[in-house]
Amino acid sequence: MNKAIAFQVWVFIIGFLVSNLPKRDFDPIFRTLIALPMGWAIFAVCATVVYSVHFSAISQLVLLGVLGVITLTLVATSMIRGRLSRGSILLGGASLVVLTTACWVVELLRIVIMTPDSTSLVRFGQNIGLGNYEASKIIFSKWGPFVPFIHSITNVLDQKLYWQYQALLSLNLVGIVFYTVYTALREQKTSWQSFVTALIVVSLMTLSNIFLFHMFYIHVNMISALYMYLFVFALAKIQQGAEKAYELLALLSLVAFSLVRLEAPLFAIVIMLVACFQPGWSYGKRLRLVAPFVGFCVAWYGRVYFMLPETPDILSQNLIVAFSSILLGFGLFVAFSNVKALDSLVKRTPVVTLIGLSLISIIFTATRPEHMLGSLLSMVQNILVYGNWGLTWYVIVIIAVELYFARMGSTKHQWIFTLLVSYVLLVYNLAYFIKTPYHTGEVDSANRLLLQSLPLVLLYLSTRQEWLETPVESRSLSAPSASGVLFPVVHDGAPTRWRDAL
Amino acid sequence: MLNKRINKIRVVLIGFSMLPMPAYANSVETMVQEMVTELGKLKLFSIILLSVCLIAARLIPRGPSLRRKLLLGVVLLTFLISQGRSVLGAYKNSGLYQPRKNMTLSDLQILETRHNGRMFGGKKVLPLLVADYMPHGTVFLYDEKLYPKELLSWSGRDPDRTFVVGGYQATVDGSFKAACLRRPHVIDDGLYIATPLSNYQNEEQVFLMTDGMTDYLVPGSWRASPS
Repeated sequence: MNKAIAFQVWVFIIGFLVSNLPKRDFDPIFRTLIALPMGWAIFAVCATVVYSVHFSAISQLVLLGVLGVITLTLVATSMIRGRLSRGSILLGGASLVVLTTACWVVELLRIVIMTPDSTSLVRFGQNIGLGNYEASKIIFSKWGPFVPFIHSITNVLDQKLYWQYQALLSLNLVGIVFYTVYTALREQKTSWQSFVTALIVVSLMTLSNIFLFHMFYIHVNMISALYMYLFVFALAKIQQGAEKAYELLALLSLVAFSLVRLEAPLFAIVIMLVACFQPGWSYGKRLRLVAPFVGFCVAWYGRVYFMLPETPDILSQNLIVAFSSILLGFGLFVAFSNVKALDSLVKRTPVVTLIGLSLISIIFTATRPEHMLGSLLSMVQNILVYGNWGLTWYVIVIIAVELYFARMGSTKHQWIFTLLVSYVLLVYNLAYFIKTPYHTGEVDSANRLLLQSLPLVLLYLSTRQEWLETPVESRSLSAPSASGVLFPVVHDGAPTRWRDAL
Repeated sequence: MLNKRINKIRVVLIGFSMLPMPAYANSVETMVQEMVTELGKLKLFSIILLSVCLIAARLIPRGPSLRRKLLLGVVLLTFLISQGRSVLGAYKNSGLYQPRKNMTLSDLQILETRHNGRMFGGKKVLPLLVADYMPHGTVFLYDEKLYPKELLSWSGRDPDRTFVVGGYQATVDGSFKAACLRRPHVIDDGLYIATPLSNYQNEEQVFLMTDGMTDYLVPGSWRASPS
């Protein structure tokens, strides 16, 4: 077993042990699917903390030590709490076999796609691993630290380029989207119908050239898409009253997502403004999610403020102050969201967010009409012609039109639609801050940001099943009865087959 | 003021309708031609077919029926054929999905993908090469203005110890140049690099030499030595 595979296995074990702690809240397949992203999220958080505290050649050793201690602690906790049952060990073992096989397949394929962005991410990431502070600090003004931290372990793996993780995490994303879409469909369809439909829905994503490209492309896009998807999915589950395990999943995904791209915290704030103020969210739940997120991000920005080189790439000290102010403002809003005087505003937060973003779009368009409308035109042109999507968005539009005419009664997950619209508006608004407008072509940043939202579009479509025109089948035991529920929620005293078995 | 703004937006919108898709298109006709060229006739046909299906779906009453299932089948089949063909075309023609020979950053940048990036494109590949293949060697440069110190530090090595300016015969004479050119190499952005890149792996000294036009990154074992 080469060291790259061994490291993936280690990261997987960390993630599996974490997701296994509240195992009664996650079903076995989902627990296995989220293990790798969770493991990498913990890695990213640890690396951020370690390198923020002390940045030198010894930091890598400390990071590996911290990960080792976390692994041992998780094993001990699992044993004390009785989480390492025979079923769990079997499940973990089987998933390790699958992971190792996937690793070997990726090794055999030897496909990697690089651009100048990838080169920078890799080179500066490797410099982090060497503890070379001066030779790596510029990367923190270009992207979030997550992907550079992944590349920082290259020297540990005895490789000159760590490339295997990209394809594996992409495959993981496909697996998670497939399974969550399947479970959403399973609410009202038979297993076979759900399987075929999920396959078709996921093929909308995987059969587009741009998605295939990004599966092997060393960049931040797929990882960003993965964590954003997990984050929104966990938010949906929390809204449905899921237990604290999903709060942990949401928090880890949120922090990991925020560490991938510079502008990710802004997207995270918009997502939370839309999702976390829906009915079903309590003040405590909001605070448990937002407080650590704001604290972590502001602390990281505070560290980066003093790390920036004299001529930073994108993230300047002024931008750091602006980002931190927005984060703190958001944190304060959430902290005071239980004040009665704000009650009417808090209840309407999702709508106010949408209206606010729309107004900002109008103001930005009026201020820089050529720039903004040029960007809008490029976004539309990329979706339809130049973005290397093929027919993906055409078919999605057809399904969306069908959904509109279906006029279905359930509004259970209508907020995901609000979220998607807000997301697109934010992508459009961000054009205001760049020097040249968005351009046509698949590598355009707006096109890539839309790629990141595609899994969520598919999730939304799968919660609106009427376009399939298939009558609701009689449900089997494994399908829960609550219509419109994304995924079987486990309540105390309502055991399911897997809960009893594992 | 507001009217001025609205007028400006109107002008821009009219402008876009006149010179849309690619910036060089100058009429709606050209725009359509560009779109058709970009899309390809088969994809355009697929889009028309999907649009027909969309309209037809509105005409057929809702509810489970064979006609609706057929319509869904046509949409899916069109999608799968078009996308499958497109993916297959990219696999065969683009070279993106071919297995890479050397999974090394400098090999990919210098020999395979050769992107002209702002940070490490062209002559600026030197730090990548140093990072991957010169873990201990000293690199001699003939002019300190050739590479900014910050760029050299991106190799991950201490630039003051790794890179030495001057102290050697930097000019390439005719016979040595001919000998270099007979060996496997690449020349990108006026920088000669010997291939395979592992040539530099065990070198204690590497020299950047020049003939006035091209810079030659010469392994020390090729009999170049400090004067």
